[in-house]
Amino acid sequence: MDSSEMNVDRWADDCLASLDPPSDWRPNAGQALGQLRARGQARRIGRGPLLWAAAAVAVAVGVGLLILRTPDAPILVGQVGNLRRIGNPPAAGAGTPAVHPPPPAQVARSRAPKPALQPTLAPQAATHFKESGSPTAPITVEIYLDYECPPCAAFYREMVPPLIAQYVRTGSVRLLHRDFPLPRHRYAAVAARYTNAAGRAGYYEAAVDQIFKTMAVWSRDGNIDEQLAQVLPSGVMEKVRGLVDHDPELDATVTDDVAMARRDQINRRPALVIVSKGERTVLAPIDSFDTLKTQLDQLLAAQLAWQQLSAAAGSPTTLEDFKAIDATREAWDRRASEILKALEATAGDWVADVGAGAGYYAMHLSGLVGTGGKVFAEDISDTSVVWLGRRVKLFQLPNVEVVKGAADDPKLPAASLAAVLVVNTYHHFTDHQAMAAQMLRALKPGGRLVIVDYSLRAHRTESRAEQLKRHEIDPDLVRVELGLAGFQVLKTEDPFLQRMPDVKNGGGIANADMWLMTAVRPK
Amino acid sequence: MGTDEASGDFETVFHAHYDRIARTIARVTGDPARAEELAVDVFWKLWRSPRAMGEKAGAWLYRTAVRTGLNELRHRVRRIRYERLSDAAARPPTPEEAHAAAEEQEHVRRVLASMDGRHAELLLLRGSGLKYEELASALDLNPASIGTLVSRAQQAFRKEYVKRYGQQ
Repeated sequence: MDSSEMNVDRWADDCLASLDPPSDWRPNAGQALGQLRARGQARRIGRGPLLWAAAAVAVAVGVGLLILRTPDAPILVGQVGNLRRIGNPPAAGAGTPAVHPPPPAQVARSRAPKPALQPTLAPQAATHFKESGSPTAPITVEIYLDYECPPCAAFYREMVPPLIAQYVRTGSVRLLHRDFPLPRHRYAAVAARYTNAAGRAGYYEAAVDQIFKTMAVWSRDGNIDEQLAQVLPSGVMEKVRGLVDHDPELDATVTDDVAMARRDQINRRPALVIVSKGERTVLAPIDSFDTLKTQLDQLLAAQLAWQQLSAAAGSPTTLEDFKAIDATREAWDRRASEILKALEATAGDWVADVGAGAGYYAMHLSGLVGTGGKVFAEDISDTSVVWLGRRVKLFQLPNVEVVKGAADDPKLPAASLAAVLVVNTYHHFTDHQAMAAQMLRALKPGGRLVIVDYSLRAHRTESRAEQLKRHEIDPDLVRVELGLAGFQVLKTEDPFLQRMPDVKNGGGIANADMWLMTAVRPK
Repeated sequence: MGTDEASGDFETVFHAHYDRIARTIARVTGDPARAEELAVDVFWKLWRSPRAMGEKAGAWLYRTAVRTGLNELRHRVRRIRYERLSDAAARPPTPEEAHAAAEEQEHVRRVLASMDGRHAELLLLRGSGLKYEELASALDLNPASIGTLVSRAQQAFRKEYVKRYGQQ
């Protein structure tokens, strides 16, 4: 009985598996997104008249109610009044948003951002209290908040304190508050006015804290004043009230922030923008502090690497230079030890690092195969060959042989290697067929080829050339190419290392996931 | 405002799921080109339902995708049946139809189209590689009973298959 049930399981699974679409079919995401955008636009254009029509229908229904109801029965005065009350509000209510112009305050707010759309930031002095941390910090984190949005309060409560403790206080991050009140939140703009007034009086953080803490209370009636008065000294509170009531400049930073939000294409709150080397990367939604931490750490590591590389004038010369490069490499390829493990190299083996760069993996391979083994550290770049030579000398790696390869030939000995490693290099191969053939030739039967490279799923529908431009390549393409070259692909870990899952804009390798593929030369 | 607010997220969700959603529908309908059209419809529905966005957008998409696929499949099966009924002379199978693999796929699809929808959805999403927790989330079922439900769906599938096409 059991076995027959198990068979039904397997049999049903097999039946369902037979439905898989053809393996060479790739849904065209770009085309689909284009169609969706077109539909979205059509709908947006259509929406104006639709609202007008809805308002007209509502008016007609209201009038209709009056007409239908009136002849029904003897009309009492009270009833007529009642009917009018019922009849009128729906018409007015439905008409208001579409028919009447928005109230003056809203016009001022929605029009004001336009001039600020020029690429100018708000003047330093005016935004000063909204900033914290070192002005020379390598990264700026800007947070867009609305005081009446509960997720913003949660973000402020849970993520801002560790961000300040771990990054702002250590000088790595400069933090900037940006106000982005939602128009439909009745009191959010007023709350921003209060915090900015408190900021002028030197109590910005205390005010923001209190406003978020007591959101549930003041959002009922808009009495922010009462809540702030509980934490601000009475003299300060007086000053804040004066500013809130009379200062026409108080919303200037809000206007600038809203303009910036439009440029950043922010459309949800809270949102966070990481500014690193002039590049703005939007992070929203922000699901956990760990996500943010991962991204900040990667950017800091990349900046550090850049600084160190430029400090060494692009050329590491001392042991310390190399160690610094290796440290950033470890922060970057966080699973370096697993990459090495995938090669299954043991003492006495001959192995190769194709595209060895500064020699980080070659050095570790040197330790793995020991004095009885040998590592061929190959690169086609003259600079790399010089660096590799320096590393071999500085770290005393007698079992590492530096090889200057060619674009179509890594110049490795035939049928003698137990493993070949290709990290972040396959997408640079200009003649991948020749390279694959040569690597196959260099491996002993049963020898392993481990390839690690980058790819973001969203880019996989693009052509091979487009992907290479991004320093990425779809592992499925590589699998096919290796198969054609005569390799047997054992497995692909995809993603092997996931990076910054929430990055929306900001391009380049920093945003791409890593994959790892293991293949063998068949015996 | 609601739509504008959702649009940035929307693209993130789109890129994260489009490929698998299109494939899920293609598995049901067996027609990749049509599956892409239907996948666009599914994302369009998501675009218009701001409430479906958020953490559960993935689950919502799978549920909607498999239902859309099954609807299409049921319509097609019904249409074919009518065409057959109106077609007095039974025509011989075309070479394509005679192809065993295609026939097998068609049998599986017919059985799925005629089964209880819940069972078909479970089997199809499981076939698309969803794990038990993902299945539970997509179909709003108790994760603890997914194992039993899958097993029941498999039995029902088997029963319907045997009824139509005999012992395999």
